[in-house]
Amino acid sequence: MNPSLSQESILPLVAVLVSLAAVPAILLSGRRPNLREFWTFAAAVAKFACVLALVPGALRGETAGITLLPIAPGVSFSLSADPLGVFFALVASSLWIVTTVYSIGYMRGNGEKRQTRYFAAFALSLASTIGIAFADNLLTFLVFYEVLTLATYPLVVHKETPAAIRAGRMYLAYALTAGLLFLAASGWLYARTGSLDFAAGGIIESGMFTGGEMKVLFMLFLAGVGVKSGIMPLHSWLPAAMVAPTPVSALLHAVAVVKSGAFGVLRVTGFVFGPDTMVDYGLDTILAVFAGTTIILASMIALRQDNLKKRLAFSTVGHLSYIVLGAAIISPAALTGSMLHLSAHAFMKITLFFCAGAIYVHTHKTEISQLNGLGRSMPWTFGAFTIGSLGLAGIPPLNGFVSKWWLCVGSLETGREWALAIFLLSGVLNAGYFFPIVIRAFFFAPPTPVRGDEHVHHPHGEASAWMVAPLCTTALLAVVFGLFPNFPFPFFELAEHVVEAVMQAAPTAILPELPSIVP
Amino acid sequence: MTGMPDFPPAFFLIIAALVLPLLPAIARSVTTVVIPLVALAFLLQFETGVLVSHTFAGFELILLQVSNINFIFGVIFLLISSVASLYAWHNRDTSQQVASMLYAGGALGVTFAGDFLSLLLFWELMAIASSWLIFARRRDESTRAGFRYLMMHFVGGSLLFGGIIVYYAQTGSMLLEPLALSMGPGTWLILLGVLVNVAFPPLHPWLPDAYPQATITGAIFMSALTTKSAVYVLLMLFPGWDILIYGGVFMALYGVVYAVLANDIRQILAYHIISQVGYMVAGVGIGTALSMNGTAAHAYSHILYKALLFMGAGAVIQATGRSKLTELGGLGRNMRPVLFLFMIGAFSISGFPLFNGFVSKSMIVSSAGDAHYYSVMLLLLLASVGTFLHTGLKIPVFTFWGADQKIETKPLPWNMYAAMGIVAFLCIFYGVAPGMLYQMLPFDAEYHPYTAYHYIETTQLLVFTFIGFWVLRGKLAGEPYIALDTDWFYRRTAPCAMRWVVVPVNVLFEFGERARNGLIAAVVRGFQNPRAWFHPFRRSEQPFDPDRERAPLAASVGFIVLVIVALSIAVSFR
Amino acid sequence: MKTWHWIVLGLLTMSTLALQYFGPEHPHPHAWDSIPLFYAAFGFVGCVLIIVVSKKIGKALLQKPENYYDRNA
Repeated sequence: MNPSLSQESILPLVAVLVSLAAVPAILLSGRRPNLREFWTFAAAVAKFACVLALVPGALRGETAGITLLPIAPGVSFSLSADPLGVFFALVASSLWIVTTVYSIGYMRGNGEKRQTRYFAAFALSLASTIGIAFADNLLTFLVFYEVLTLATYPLVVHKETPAAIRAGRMYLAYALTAGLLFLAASGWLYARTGSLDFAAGGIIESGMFTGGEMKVLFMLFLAGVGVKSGIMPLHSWLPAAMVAPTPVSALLHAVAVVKSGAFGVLRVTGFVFGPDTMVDYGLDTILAVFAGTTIILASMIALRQDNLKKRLAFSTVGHLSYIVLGAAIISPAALTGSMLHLSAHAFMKITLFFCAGAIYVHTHKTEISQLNGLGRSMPWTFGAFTIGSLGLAGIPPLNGFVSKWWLCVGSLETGREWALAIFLLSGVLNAGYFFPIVIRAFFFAPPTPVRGDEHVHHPHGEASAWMVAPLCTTALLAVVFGLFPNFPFPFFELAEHVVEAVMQAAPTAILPELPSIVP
Repeated sequence: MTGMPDFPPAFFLIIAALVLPLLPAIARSVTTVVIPLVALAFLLQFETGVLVSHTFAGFELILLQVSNINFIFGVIFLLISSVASLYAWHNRDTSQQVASMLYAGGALGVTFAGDFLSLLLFWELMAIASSWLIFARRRDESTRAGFRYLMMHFVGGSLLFGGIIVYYAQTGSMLLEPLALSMGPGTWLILLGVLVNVAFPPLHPWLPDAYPQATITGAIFMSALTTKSAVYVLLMLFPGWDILIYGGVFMALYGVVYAVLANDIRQILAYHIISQVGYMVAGVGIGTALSMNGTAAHAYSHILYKALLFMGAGAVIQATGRSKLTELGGLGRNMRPVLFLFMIGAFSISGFPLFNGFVSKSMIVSSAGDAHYYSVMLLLLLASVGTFLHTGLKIPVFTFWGADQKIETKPLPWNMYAAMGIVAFLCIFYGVAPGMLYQMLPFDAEYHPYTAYHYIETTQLLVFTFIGFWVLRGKLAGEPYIALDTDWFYRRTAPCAMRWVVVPVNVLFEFGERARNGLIAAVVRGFQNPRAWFHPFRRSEQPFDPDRERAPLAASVGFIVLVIVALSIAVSFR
Repeated sequence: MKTWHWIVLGLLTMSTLALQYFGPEHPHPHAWDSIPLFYAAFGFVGCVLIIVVSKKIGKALLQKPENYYDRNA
């Protein structure tokens, strides 16, 4: 962090602590659901307000931080809100508000038990997410990263069925192992460099490690953040975790947890290793290969899934690797696209998950083949689903198009035509596995009721407004961000600041020598 | 009225589309007819040049750029949108009305865009909005065709997107201006993307697959907008590219052959679109002022008479519920007005003197001759023979004449007749007063259609084509078959690709997961009870019970004490 | 087709022949323009050719029953 732009501020700490403070309040008001929900809502709004307050400073390129606990020379437990952190925190905290409203509708509509544990764990998870966003160094990052894993465990096993427990166990196994590898890598890094700080442009300089060591170090870090960001072959926990209630899948497994992983990749590539090191040691190619393979394979697997949430899970795996591939392509435009996709995908994927949950609560249908004709009784839900699908396929004027554009421009800036081909192919595959869902819902006739089925509840109309309003909101925001990338949240400007800091070049800079593309 | 603001026509239509759901039924129909005319009034006042631009994420979007080329396209798109909306006046389905306005808005956006990003935006809008007009038919067959249509257009859009990015990386420019091969492979990708919408074989099957499946009223919009807006883009970006000359001739003849084989009247018309667009493509390829004027003039006339033909076919379907030649015949008795109006379209398309086809199609053919492409000229003339044959003769004869099959005909709403009448009038109007059309043409090139030579050529051609038809008319009756087209490749290979590529990936991953789970379970079993390692041969009858297998407490405590003592000794000797 | 239809067609053909010999000069004559009834032959032969060739290609290669794609999709 550039010290001259650094300011002491307690705001990042407050942002983290707000929902932490809400946890006991939630636990204590278990008997009074409305009061309990109020605490969650208040915490979400307060957290969002704190993050918003940090935005103006971040737009000036400043970092607001606070050192909490010095631990060892050069290492302390400290928070700082730099533009990248504020970017991620903005996404997570704004979406927590919508998810809270949605959770109320979902949990009550489904008559779920253990709601108190649910809301408390949610609050704790968000606290750790913001902690990850504002972590100033690898240690702080790791601590909050592990807390996030532990905090989300009760949410994954919420239903307490054998399948849920198995999924939870797999999740812990993957995530905690990843944490260990990350710790090992951090320790090694500290031993060699004496620092664990995040610095734009990286703290590793050439010569600190040999070529082979650099690759091993990078692989350790990658395994550490790769689990949460769903890089294949470390992704299996994600489809399994779909047994969790949908709001969990929506916010955590589409926004907070997986985006923490992707955020971690951005931190590691841009703020620990740095663009020059990545290129000099060929680390960018390693990462790019993993990410590119993940994108294509995940899309292919998604094509065959009949369970709606599983299809969304594999789609998430693919899209996370958009962000990772963007980070692997070391270029200003690609990094911009990577960040924009972090927010774009969050808004669009959360819309899709919200729709899946609304469908489940209202009709108890989970498989895509059961959705025939449902669009006519649930037009708003499927309308939002359509918007989300179009955006993920990369169709203008949605925000998914803007991020895809930047990623593709970045691919060519560095002469990686194959990355462009992957993004385009993935767009077509996305259309291939999302459009049939929409078409089924709107244009195929609903299944005729079978005799003897009269006792089965065939509900009409939309799910409760508590669920439909949030999904319409996020869908609308996807459109708004597509048309105005800086309204209402200055995502594009923040991304520009990050890119300038990391790459020392503006996103729209045309590099001095364009690679000659010989047909 | 020079004080009128520069409001892009596309926005008129898009905003109207968004407002439509709030209006009651009659108001909706009125809006769809009137708004395009309002936009047309604005268009007629615009001066040429960049009129509206907008900065977006570091790029400059040129949303309204009027030039001598796109002016005529804008006029006809707006005109036909209004007439097609009149034809659809009776259609109370709001979603279709919204979709057609958005579709038309997209077409106008494409026409007046000045940079590639705006082009892409409106291009995708057109694909999505037009696909709705196929889905809205609400039959399983239509829905499947609509999905194929959407995916094909999406692939085309991706090619366009890829090409734009490569072009931008190579040249740093996003402006829409004529491209040259030397500008890199991006130009090829852009060309491919545009050719999808132009329905250039082998990228064309979406057209004959989906157009017969569209709604009766939606098909009118579709016949006019997608291919012709793509022709405009072709004219803008690729004038004079030689491959388009031969490609255009190939298209013209390809469409003719398939039209002879097709059985569904709208499919014959769909293949015929491909044939006529082939003329336009050839005109772009020849690249002279006369040929490009010909392309523009032919596009203008084609939109008019093709719409008329689709309206007529739609009327037949609306009245009888049938669309296949094998199921139709003898309708002339009960549907005289439709027959009359359809024949005006048929005469126009065949290039009869006094109709608008006569004054426009021949421009391209003549320009080929002037530029010394003689074989091209003769082949295009051959395609004209085919045109008259399948659209001017085959469809009407087997639909309206022939054995009376006593088919029940339902009455048609007044607006269908009104719309057809208006277009028929325009076909004759421009045929009789070609100067009205020529004054809108982009380039300066003299052309006089009413010459003795042209009369001789046309009359002999038409009369003797008719005689040939008459001699072989038995062979031309519809047959209950479909003709395989290049969509066989993806309709047959898609399931194969699924089987051979996607399924193995899935199977591999599932196998990997099972293997991993099995491995973990085995490891857990093996390490569950280390004490059992000391008794490898004693098979335990009871399941693992941690209480039984625990070491005595004394052993654990002793072990800990031992370690502490050892460590302390080791440390104190440092 | 009634007799008078054929008479009209015959008259039209005659009129084109008359124009060819007695009418104004064509500004850019092509090689074939001087052949009388060139376009008549072109029309007739072309029409027959198109029908015969299309049908041949259809029978040999292309035409399939209407439910072709539905069978083992």
